[in-house]
Amino acid sequence: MRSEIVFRIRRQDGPQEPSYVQEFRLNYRPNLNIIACLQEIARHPVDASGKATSPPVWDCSCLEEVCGACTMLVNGVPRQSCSTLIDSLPSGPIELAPLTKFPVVRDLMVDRKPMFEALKQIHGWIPIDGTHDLGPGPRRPSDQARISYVFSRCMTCGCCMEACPNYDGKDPSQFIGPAPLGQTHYFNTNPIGAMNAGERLDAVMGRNGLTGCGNAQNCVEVCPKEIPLTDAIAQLNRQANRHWLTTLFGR
Amino acid sequence: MALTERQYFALRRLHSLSGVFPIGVFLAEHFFTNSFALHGAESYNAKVEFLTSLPYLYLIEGLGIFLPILFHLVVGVIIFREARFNNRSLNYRQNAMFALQRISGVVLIFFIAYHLAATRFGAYFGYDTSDLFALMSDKLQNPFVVAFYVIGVCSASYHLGNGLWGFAIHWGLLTGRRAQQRWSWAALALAVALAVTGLNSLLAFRPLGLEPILLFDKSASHVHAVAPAAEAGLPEMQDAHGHGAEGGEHR
Repeated sequence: MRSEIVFRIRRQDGPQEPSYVQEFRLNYRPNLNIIACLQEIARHPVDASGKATSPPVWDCSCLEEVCGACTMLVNGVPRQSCSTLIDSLPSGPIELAPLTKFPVVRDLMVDRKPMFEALKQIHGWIPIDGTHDLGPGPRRPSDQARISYVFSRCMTCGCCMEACPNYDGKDPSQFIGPAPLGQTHYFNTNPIGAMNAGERLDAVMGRNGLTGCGNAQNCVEVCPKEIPLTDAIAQLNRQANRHWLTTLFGR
Repeated sequence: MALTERQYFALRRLHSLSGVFPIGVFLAEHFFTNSFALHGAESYNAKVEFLTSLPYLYLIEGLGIFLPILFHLVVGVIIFREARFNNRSLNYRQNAMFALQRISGVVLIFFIAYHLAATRFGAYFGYDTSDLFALMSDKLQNPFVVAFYVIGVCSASYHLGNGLWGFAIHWGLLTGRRAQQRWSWAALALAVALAVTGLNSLLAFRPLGLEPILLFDKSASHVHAVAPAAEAGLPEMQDAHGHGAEGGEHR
């Protein structure tokens, strides 16, 4: 049972500044999450040695593991700081750090723009607008809709991207990462989205696409929404190979 | 390199395929042929002679073994360089196997280079390859060579076993998580079987003057092997019947 909570927070004053670690101590209370602790530190920004400092910066919005904004490394594992309860962590200092695969804005706040760029690459939308009424879309079996729903829970939090040993983040020519591939599968299995399935498949058959996956399968281990990302990747592999082999000698 | 996206996709898929066929098939054949060493020097050398007397030998070796291995190596190095290992913070089984796959691959580059120089191309390095059993046996009196061979055999076995797992995913054969996990255990069992076969035939060469511990092969204990330790000037050793090795009595 801990009597106090010790945080070691990796901080960085700006995108180009060097990073450093600062320690903070809080009195223990039950049922705290990390956000509540960060809020308390922000109210009294005094480090463990008693020196006044600036309040650590972090990003958060929904506070219920739906938006993904507060994702950070907690003891080296990417997860949401809102749904990470102090009581669930081993006693001893808690290490907080910003995600390493995305550019740091300040302290624990990162810019997850590369994920947005990736969604643009894979055509992560369904074009339905036309100049005239296209009528109702096709109906779909409820078991398919149920599988699809799981993929719709992706909140672009970046846990899978952070955990993937083949995702680099800084170099867009490298592997696109698990989340965009999961979304490719999501949009391709939607009955209306399937009308543009070929475009999306083409978009992930390039150099930074499917072939970048090395099957470490960390993505499914860390995904807070339990999205079967590796199933999606294998399904896309199957489709991509068929597309490749059937057009091997041209069309 | 100015590869098109499509060519790059093909390269990565062929890397996966080449590991299974022809390289994986060759490895299985290689370990099986080596097992003739269990029946003694004559039996083993006869198999070597048979293989080296095959028609179109250079074509089979060149296009069926050396070129695929070289191709697998080059693309493998590219794949190795993509990985940013994070096993310390993300200690999952599949992540460890991901790292091991890459490490064993690098070990194999060095091992196969040494192995080829000491056997197939031994003649160019001043070895007498006319009696390959004696040559191998002689080399395996050095504990460092034995250690290197044990590591090499285990690396090759694991790399193929786990490679078959990756193959099933890259080619979209297994898409569900549970199916992939089951196949993972089966692939590991295959790796163990390969390693046991490989190590068992290593033992048949009487490394470090050890008695052969012949697994699964009772008949082999009745076959007298050449005792190269005597020629190498090492202390006399006993053959399976408890006779001292007396300078080629059984030859």
